[in-house]
Amino acid sequence: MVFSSLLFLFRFLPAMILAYYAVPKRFRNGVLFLGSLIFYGWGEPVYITLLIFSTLVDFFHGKVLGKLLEQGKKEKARWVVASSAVINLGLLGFFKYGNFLVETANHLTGSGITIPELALPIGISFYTFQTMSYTIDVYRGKAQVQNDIIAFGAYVSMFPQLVAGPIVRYSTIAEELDQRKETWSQFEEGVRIFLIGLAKKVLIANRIGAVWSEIQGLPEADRTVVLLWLGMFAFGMQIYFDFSGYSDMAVGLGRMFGFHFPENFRYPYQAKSVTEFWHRWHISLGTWFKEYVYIPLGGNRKGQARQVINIMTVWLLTGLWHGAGWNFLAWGGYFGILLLLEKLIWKKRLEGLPAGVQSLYTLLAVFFGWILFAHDSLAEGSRYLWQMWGLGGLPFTSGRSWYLLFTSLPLMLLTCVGSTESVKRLWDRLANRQWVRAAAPVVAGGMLILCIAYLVDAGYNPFLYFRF
Amino acid sequence: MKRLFQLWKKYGISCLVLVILFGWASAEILLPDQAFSQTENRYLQRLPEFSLKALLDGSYGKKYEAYLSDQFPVRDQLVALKTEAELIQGKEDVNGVYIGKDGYLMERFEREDIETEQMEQNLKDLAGFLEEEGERLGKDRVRGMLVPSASQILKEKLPFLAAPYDQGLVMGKLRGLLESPEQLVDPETVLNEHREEEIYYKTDHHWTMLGAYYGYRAWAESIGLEPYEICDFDRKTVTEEFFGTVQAKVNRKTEPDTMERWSLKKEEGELQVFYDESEEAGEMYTQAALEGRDKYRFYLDGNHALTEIRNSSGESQGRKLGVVKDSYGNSFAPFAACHFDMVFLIDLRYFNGNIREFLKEQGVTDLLVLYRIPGFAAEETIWKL
Repeated sequence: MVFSSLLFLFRFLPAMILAYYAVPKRFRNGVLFLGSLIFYGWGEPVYITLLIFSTLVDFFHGKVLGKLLEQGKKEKARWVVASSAVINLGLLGFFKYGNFLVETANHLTGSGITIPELALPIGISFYTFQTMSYTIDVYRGKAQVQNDIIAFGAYVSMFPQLVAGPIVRYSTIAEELDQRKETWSQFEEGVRIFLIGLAKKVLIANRIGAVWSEIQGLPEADRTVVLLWLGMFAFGMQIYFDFSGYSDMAVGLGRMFGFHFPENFRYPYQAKSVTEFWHRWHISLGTWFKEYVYIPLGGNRKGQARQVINIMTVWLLTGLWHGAGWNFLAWGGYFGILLLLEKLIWKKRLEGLPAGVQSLYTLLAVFFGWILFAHDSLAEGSRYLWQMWGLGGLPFTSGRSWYLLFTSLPLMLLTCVGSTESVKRLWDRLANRQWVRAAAPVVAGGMLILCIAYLVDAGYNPFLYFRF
Repeated sequence: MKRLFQLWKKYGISCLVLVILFGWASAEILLPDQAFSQTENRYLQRLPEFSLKALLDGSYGKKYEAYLSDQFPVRDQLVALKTEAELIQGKEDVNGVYIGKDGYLMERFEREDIETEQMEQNLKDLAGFLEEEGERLGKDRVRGMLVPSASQILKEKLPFLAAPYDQGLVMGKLRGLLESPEQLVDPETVLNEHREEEIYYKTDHHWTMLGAYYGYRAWAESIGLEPYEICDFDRKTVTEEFFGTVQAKVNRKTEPDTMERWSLKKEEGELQVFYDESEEAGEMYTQAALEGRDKYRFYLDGNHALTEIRNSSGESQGRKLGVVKDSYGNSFAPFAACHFDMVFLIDLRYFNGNIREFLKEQGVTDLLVLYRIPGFAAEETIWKL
């Protein structure tokens, strides 16, 4: 199930709110756990077993780990952590990377192994990372062992962040799992954040995404330089509004049920360097890799050569985390190299440049990266990048280009403004005025109805011909 | 009162949102389900039957979501709201429909919609059919006519900067596939000359009777028939309340269309219609269709696999015409029927016999293949030729 659907808004969410607030506090984790399983299993009921399996595995690993640590057997405890990591990564590897590995092996050796195509279990990249953080945090003494399987199940399966993050580390919400206070003001705040996320997804991401789909699907004869640049812009904006919208909805929903999830996006397109961009984009993933890969590898404490290797390792893995394909690997590597270059060579020089130039450099670097990200085939991606400069005999523009550009302009402007802090600044300045307070609910309700209109329209499907 | 206002300022968002979510959800549950949507011209999904098997393989979930969307209260109005929102934000086409000038709604077609593999195959099949039947019946008796859709002709009515795919390219391709290009009738020229007149509906994807008349002229001249003039016909308005399929896609309040019925003034013979090999003569114009939403069905009762029109005037010396057509043929057929003893209209979507055999058996002497270009490009039944 996804948040931006009628099913979620008009069935799941109302039922969840009713059930959650109708039961006494001690049953609320249970309601959350059960609801999350339904949420998860709606599209692919069989994969509920996977989620329960993950829950059980890490719950018992945590228990054993706790015992061993009590007895001071740190060495043995390491093996338990390793076992949990192997099982989690094994699941992820099997479901997400199985095909990719086999295809690569076939390509290299000329063999013809085939394995059945499996549908990727939704959110598996997110919840395997979350459960791993639990055992590791317990081992490191940063988190207490969770003795209540229902509470632990609620953590693993928690529907607000199950499908698309943020990756909430166990230690972050350990306390709230056991005792949290739900208040009406928090609920109000949660609804507000959720609505902002919903609008980002439905009113901006989906629409700019339609522009990108049109450009991505262009026949060769209709490609122009203008359209390829517009396409790059559209995809970059789509992915930001889609992903950050989803994170906002997650944070908002969490708040509605008494949880505080970490902020996942902080206006990344305002960054003045690629390094800063990655401190603002999908923050919970960056933190995860830093905590559980970069630092354990030695980080920057073992000399510069080792640091270079560590950074590249982290970024190639980050690339692969986004998808099983060479283009994602290349995308990760591309950022690894850029980050190294910034760290080692041009960081100082960059900082001396005018702010506008820094921004331009960052945005171009990031958006060119999106081209690699958006094309499953590396060859296609490079051809796109090549053609953007008019190479390969592409015309500069066409009637269709002007039309698409012209009719997308207001939306493009909206994405530009919406991806900066300016709207929030305006809100912060006005939020205390009486009339703003009084009008805010009306605006929010109007926005919700507009979102509903767009969702309904997606399923509206006039039939041209005679009825059968 | 003051306290209520304080509460509103503090908790107004969540209250209003909850009212909307719960209100709409309960309205949907309480309101009776609709079986059929007039605007969309299709049956709606009803509450699916629950079974464990359907639940586990995910099909129950899919159907339930379709049900939720189909039965959503005030659905049509919400679609209209979305259309307005898109227009306010500078879009000029919504759901694949140009919001043109003077109330014209026109479908938007781009290269990828038309130049598909399906179209290439269809063109080959059509060219083969025209060639072979041309050999058999005479090249001057077999014609293909592909009619461009409104956006190709009514360029002045398109919104600012709109530049849809040039449908003339499709005719060009077909011409290249034929040994004798004179077998093609290209109505674009004549339609273009009359683009100031009402040759396409504003709210529907069909051509009007007048548009069909110009198509008929171009075709008649190409096979050496002398077409009747406009003044030879009695034109009668049958409805001024027609909202067509294109309007249904955007649900926008626009001017309705006018539909006409044309009949020859001189009463020489009588036209009789037989649908799907029925023994009993049917109605040439289906009055009842004007009561419903799908009013274009007025012409020849919508789409039948086989429609036979007999003309008792005996003017044509035994000539019989076969027309392979989509719904564009329905308003065209009354004109053609003036010149032939018999006209067989064949709709490939529903016709399941061997067409060439059928034409031979009926002793058809003249042939026309008539399609609208975008429909032809996407048609999956041209192979039946």
